[in-house]
Amino acid sequence: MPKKPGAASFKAQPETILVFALDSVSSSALRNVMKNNTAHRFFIVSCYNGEGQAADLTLVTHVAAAAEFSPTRLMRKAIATASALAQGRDVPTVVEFPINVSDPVSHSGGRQGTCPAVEQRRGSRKGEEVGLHAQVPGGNTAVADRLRSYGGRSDMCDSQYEFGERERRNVNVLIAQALAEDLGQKGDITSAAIIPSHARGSARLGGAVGRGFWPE
Amino acid sequence: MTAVERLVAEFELIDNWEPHLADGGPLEPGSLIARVHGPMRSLLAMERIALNFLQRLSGIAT
Repeated sequence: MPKKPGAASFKAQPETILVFALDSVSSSALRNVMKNNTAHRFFIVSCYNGEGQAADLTLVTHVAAAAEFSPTRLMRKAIATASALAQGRDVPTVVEFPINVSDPVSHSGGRQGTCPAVEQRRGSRKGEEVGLHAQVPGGNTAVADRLRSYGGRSDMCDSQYEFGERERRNVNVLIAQALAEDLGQKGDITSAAIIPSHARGSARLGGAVGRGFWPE
Repeated sequence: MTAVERLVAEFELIDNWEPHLADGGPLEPGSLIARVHGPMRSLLAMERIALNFLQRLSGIAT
């Protein structure tokens, strides 16, 4: 694929193509390009349940795959589905791949699931259902209020940088995935092995000194 | 920062979390993003995940 998947690039690709959109920003850009320029082309949409964007990309003819979130796993499945299509096997018009992680939107009436890593870490609270929102008193409003109190620009919290329901859901799913991946069922065994349980400490998060990849 | 704050809450360190930047704020090399203190085990378990989020999302934002 060209690095910039614009309308001209799509029109110039008569054969089957695979397109990966790895985050919500690129997905939106991809959706806009495809909506206007790729009528009668077929796409495999690989995103977690609840995104509700599959219909926008599910058209007919050529093959593309848009993977949002958990990109490695979703891309693997999207490629497998594209391969099945290329081999002439039947696949559903809309292929959805659920991700089995905590769905913490309980405050809005959604299903509340559990994250193994979180459950393990909270072993003393047997039977408690874990929702990632539970530890943020007041939910998103409280977060925005706190950001203002920290001296941030209040207009950011009120406008384009405030998390909506979709962003909150995405963040919580990503955090649940990160916890499950990094800590899994056993937790942080290194810390448990070398640090006394009563030890306390403090930490500073800071910007790294260096130019990174910025050009001169 | 919102993502990291939620992560901090998951490790029950939210009461000891002192952010110095808001989402979308500019970051200079060496500048302080946040302070946090609490049980050392929790700090170290959280550290790598928090850095992964900060680095990845800051990279996307820039």
